Amino acid sequence: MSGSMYDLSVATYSQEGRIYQVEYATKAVENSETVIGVRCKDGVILGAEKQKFSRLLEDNTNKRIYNIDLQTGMALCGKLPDGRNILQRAKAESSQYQDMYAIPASAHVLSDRVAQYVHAYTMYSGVRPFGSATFIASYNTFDGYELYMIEPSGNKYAYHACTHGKGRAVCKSEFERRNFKDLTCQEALVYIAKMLILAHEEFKEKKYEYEMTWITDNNGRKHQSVPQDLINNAVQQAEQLIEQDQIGE
Amino acid sequence: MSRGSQGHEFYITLFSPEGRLYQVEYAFKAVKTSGLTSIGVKGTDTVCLITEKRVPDKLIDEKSVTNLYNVSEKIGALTTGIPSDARALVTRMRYEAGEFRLKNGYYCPVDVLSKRMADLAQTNTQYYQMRSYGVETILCQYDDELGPLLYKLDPSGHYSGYKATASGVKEQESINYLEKQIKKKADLNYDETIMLAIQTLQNVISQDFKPTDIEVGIVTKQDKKFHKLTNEQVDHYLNLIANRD
Repeated sequence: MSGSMYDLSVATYSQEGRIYQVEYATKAVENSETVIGVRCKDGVILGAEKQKFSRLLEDNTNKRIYNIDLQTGMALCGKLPDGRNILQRAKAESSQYQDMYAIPASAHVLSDRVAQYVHAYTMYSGVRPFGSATFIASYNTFDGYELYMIEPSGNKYAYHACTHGKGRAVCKSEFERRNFKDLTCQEALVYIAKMLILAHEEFKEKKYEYEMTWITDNNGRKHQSVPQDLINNAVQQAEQLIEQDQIGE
Repeated sequence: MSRGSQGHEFYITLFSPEGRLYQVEYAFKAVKTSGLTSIGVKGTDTVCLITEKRVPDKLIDEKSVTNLYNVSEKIGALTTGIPSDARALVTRMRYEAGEFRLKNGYYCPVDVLSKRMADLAQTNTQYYQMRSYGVETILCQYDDELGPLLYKLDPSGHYSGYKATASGVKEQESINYLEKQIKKKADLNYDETIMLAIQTLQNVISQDFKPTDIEVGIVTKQDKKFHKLTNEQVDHYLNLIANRD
């Protein structure tokens, strides 16, 4: 697909009415590491795979999932620097909302604001779209658990389960096989790990670490990292599950 | 048809040698990329807006998918086109309607809002910084002075009041059908307005609807607040139409 001259600016429509710069930005996300968000029976889990591209890297320092507020978390997929720009904006919006309305911003309010911020960068000729998709998970007493994904185009939807990145096809087929609404967050950890491992099936020889956070009834409904030992267990069990599946084939 | 290969079609601020603004025309094409069709019909005391509800992905929570918005209590907006552009426009419309209310002390009438949004859209066709929104918006209101009103805005900055209108993929077919029907009977009551809208959509998309496949919003003389019909109410009209045929 050649854009010829239509892809030189985000403020240019192509002959068919497409905006190529936004599509290219989405490609940047599609080629990056996989991120998953899942709503379970009793909470929401965000998970990300991270390639350890150098032996000199400290473990668990290069984060992809951040807190926006006590009960709201954001996972970044795609170009991390772009994602962090969106994150800063989300933190500012959330803080401003709390100042004005005295309650924390829920995901559906915050995602709307963040989506419009991301969308603004698809309108002006002097800027480029963000090469990053962001996932927002939150809990509040009025709306319960919520999960939203915002794409580089500024599109946002609420999801039962969502994914972006290289392994999204694998993850989507797993979502269809399993109804996560029947599982508790604890039970779902194994399957999240399984999806993240399968996502980089082609790069098995490289080393990966996994980042998972959750908001559940059991951890006080706050957005926190899943304890490292639970992640390690989940990864181990997931690797066994994958082996069994492969032997079964 | 000359393609303007000298580059007139890549920049909004250039006319083509034939006097066309290609970027604006391409923005109209972008409206059709959504794949949806939307219809608005005005009766004697009712205005009805209807659109297809298609959830792009099974994993998406259906409650978050909509193209029908309240711009104020009394003005309803139906957007067709690029979803993120639509959302930005709705936010801007809400802001403009709110500012009007604040400064002037009464609810913004839809014809004033349409004019304001159209003028804003025009600046996108004349200045280089921003591209046009790839969205057509259909607005409706029951105005205290002017009665039921239906307006359509498009990316070029054009706006107009209509008896009935459509936008999206099947725009031309819908408008042809509506013209024939309105010619037969133009003064429609509450039920007839809603049924004409649903019928038109069914006719051009040629498939049977379940109530969850469409979104219907109405505003009437009795209830000047714009609101969406529930699935049961939509089902009632679908049955009426099916029985009549």
